[in-house]
Amino acid sequence: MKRLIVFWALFLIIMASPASIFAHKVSVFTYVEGDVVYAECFFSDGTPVKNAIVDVFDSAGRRLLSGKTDKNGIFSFKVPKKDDLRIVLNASMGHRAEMVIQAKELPELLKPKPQGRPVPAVDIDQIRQVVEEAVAREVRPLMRAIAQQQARRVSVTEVVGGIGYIVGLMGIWMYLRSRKGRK
Amino acid sequence: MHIAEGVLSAPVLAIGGALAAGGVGIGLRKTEYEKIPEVAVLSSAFFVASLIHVPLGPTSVHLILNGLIGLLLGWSAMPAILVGLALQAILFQFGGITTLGVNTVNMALPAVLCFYLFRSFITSDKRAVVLVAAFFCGAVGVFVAGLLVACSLFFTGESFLQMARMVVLAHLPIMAIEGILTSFCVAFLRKVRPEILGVNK
Repeated sequence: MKRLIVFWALFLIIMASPASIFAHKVSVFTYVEGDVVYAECFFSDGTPVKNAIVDVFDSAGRRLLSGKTDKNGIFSFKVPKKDDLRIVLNASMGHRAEMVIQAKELPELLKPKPQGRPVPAVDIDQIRQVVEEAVAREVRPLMRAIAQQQARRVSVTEVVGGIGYIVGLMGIWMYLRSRKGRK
Repeated sequence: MHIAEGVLSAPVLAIGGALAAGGVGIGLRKTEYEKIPEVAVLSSAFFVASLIHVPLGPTSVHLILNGLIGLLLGWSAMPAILVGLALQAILFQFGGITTLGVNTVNMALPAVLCFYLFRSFITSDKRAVVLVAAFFCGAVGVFVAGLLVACSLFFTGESFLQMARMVVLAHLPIMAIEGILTSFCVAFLRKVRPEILGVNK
């Protein structure tokens, strides 16, 4: 009996340690700021995926670049070209996630200014860029919260539901077996 | 332990699927009618166990319980683990539907192996033998599953030795935890329901 208590105590300690539960799936969450793309990688409980390999592919499936996430699980890169970018996180041992940034979400790559024409005092493109950056910065925490919420998908309902399915399958199996037995 | 969608190549998926289908077939045929509820209970245990996680390095490991399940069920562990994995894939997006076969083989085959390796020790009269055998049963289940995962990933180009070392190292704490857990479960069952372990009293 004493040993059982020790066992359950151990069990509870493991269960209660923060970030030890519900951390299985990996997720990637991407956002664009200026011409830099940030890919945040985390386990479904929100702990960052450190030192994981991130590959970036274009719409034709060619690998444009790859790198590793830092200690906050973030990998950032300059937009290499305006195309649908597929960002693939490979956290080894078969853990993998991907996310696509569509070309239209990317900013226009800076074009060389037309020469010879007097530059207006206020460049409408510059304003647009500044506003985009500011909005992106403000919205980022919200986006992150949404992404983490979506990632944390394990709920009590699902666990209970899953067990329910198993009981149901058991019933079907027993029913089929009992019919076979009667024949 | 769960390999996600899009990691493995088609032949590996096909081989995994075929092996899993065969194993589950054997499991379904070998299960006696009276054992079906036990299979369901352990399937539920497996389904829930994977929610208990230990974060480690760039990845995280979780309880698998395949040693214990194999010890109690033998070949019936195949359908039990298949159902658990299928529900995990659908409800939690752990692993994936296409990798279901490979994942089933990776976790259920070591379970069956554990049955043949350790079952005879569990019925021993010596308490120490039972406890030690149960501990190794839990640990070996995880260990072999780790090797199989490394094997499956080998075909994707990751270096086998490096992968195997990493997977096994990452699972060392889980091996210890599972070993202890299996010992306690077996000791408990020996006391309360010895007939589940095939001990006649």
